[in-house]
Amino acid sequence: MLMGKQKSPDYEDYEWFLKQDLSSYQNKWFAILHKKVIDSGDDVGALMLRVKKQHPKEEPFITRVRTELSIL
Amino acid sequence: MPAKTLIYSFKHTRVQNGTCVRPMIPITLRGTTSFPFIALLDTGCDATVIPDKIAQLIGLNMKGRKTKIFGQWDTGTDAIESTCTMMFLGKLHKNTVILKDVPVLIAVTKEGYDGDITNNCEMVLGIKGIFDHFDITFEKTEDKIILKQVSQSKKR
Repeated sequence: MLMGKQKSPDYEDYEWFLKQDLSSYQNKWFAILHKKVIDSGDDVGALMLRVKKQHPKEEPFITRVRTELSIL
Repeated sequence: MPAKTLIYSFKHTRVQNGTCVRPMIPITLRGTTSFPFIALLDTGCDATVIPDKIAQLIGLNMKGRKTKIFGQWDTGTDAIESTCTMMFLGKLHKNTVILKDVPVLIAVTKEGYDGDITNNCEMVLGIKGIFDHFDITFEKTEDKIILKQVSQSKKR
């Protein structure tokens, strides 16, 4: 389990995410911090652990963007 | 406390043969600890789905009732009923809306199989437990997703 007190996530990182073409990370999970993709991978659990270890005081966003058209 | 209104924009994504737009919004999930995500807001999804690897790491209760979730053409994925606290982030911190005890389904990774829902879908925010708290408007031509908090008396 992840522990520790962090800063609030940065809304500007969300706004940065909206504007970027992130298709090179197709179907991978990735982490965004300070307007950069700081890490990515297929395994979201491993990604979260790496990110938290490298940035224990920060709150990077984790997300994933499908590059196929999808329906339910 | 006055009702809050959150306004987000659509995410434009390149896909095969063009682009599509998706309502992806910033949230923080909290169990015994918390983590921020950018998740798909999906009016076609009955419930919020969280991959089990995420649920474990943020410390959600994994001992709830077992169920199954189905996509359009799949044969079903095992899931566990749980709850979490969900924070819908506002541009200004004071606008952030916190929902407690939001019902969620934790999608369980199938042993030895890499093609299941937990590796192949983004986190999805569905109707149950979220749409009771917000009136949600999608304005694609204005590039706006508007979440207007519902007053207590209006909730059903």
